[in-house]
Amino acid sequence: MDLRPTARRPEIALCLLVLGFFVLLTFQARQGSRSVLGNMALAAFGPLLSAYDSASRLTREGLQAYLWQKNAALESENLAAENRSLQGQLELARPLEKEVLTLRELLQAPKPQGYQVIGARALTAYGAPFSRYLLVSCDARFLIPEGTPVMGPGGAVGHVQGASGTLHKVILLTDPSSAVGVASERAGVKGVAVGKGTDMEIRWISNESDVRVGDMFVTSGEDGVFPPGLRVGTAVSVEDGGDYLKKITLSPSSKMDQLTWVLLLRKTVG
Amino acid sequence: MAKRLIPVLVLLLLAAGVQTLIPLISGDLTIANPYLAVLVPLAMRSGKMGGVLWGAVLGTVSDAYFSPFVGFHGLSFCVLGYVLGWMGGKLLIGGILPMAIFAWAAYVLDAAAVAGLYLLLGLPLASPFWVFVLLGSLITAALTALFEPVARRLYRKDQA
Repeated sequence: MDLRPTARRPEIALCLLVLGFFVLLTFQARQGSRSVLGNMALAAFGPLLSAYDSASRLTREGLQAYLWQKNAALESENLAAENRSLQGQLELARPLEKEVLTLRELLQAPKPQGYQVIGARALTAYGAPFSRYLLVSCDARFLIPEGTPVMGPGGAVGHVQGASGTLHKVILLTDPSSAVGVASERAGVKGVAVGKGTDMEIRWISNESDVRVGDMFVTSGEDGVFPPGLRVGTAVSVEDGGDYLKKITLSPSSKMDQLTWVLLLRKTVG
Repeated sequence: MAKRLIPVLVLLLLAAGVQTLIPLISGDLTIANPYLAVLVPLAMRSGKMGGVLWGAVLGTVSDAYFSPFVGFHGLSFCVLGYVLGWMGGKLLIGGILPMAIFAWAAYVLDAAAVAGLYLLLGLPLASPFWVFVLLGSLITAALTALFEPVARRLYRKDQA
């Protein structure tokens, strides 16, 4: 049987191949899996596919890992820088927060009537061991007369004794030369609080008077310097004296060594 | 015979190389079919019979790469090889651009034929199908434009 003329006809070859492929496809589709030929083709090109897959995955994953690491390192550096910056800001903010709290406390403290309140920055306490002074600074627009009472967040602090430009010298209540008229809040017993350095003593209160430890003393206003009602201190020891007068020790209500802002109470005209 | 096979083998190696390398550049480039890009210059120079046979071989290789079953591209490439071989015998076609245009058309026809077979066998088609076909045809045409000068040089040497 001579097949040569038929085999040479491309149309027949085409039809046979198309038919063959179609039958193969149908057979595979029915089976739902790759045919033997498909598996053979895969086996033949498997190494190439594996090489491509490995190379592709290696390149892609390597590149991704590199980029991820690079980004992570960059992000870490940025975060560290941000952290340092925030820590610096926090350090700067801490004293500000403390100052804000002090100012708020100062502003919320009850103010006496008939006085103009002028804020002043407390710069430094000095004069130890013999005296107790405080140097304060306030706006040069304000004329601060001598004797102007000064109050802090805790109550009365002292009074102005001298000025130089914007700086004012304040004699603290704890200064030995300071004397302020006081009265106990509970019983209204009056006396004079004199500075002793770190605390005060109350003089001119008789042994019969009703004074107890823990009594709060406020300014009586009878000294002509301080307005009445400013807190001065708390009685920490009360003893009867041999001269018919009590020996009362007063702890100042203002922490004189921690003052940052004070209020100058200037009398308003009229 | 061996001399005739050399240019074909070189083109096949080129196609396999391209097929292996393009996913490394971008996975999206795998929509191109380098074996079809080889079939176009090959079939145009081999006549109808050669076109059919090389279509069957290259189609089977393509199926091994791209298809769930062997036969989709095999069948389609056989027909395309025949048509291209017939056109190569009738027309005097030279130049990179005409070959690229033929490759573009061949890719579209191949996609249509394979899609038809998919539907015939009840298999689902990926979407957006025609967008991928358009992109794949353009890249395959570009690959044919790369293979054509190689094929021309190899066949000229072979004839000499």
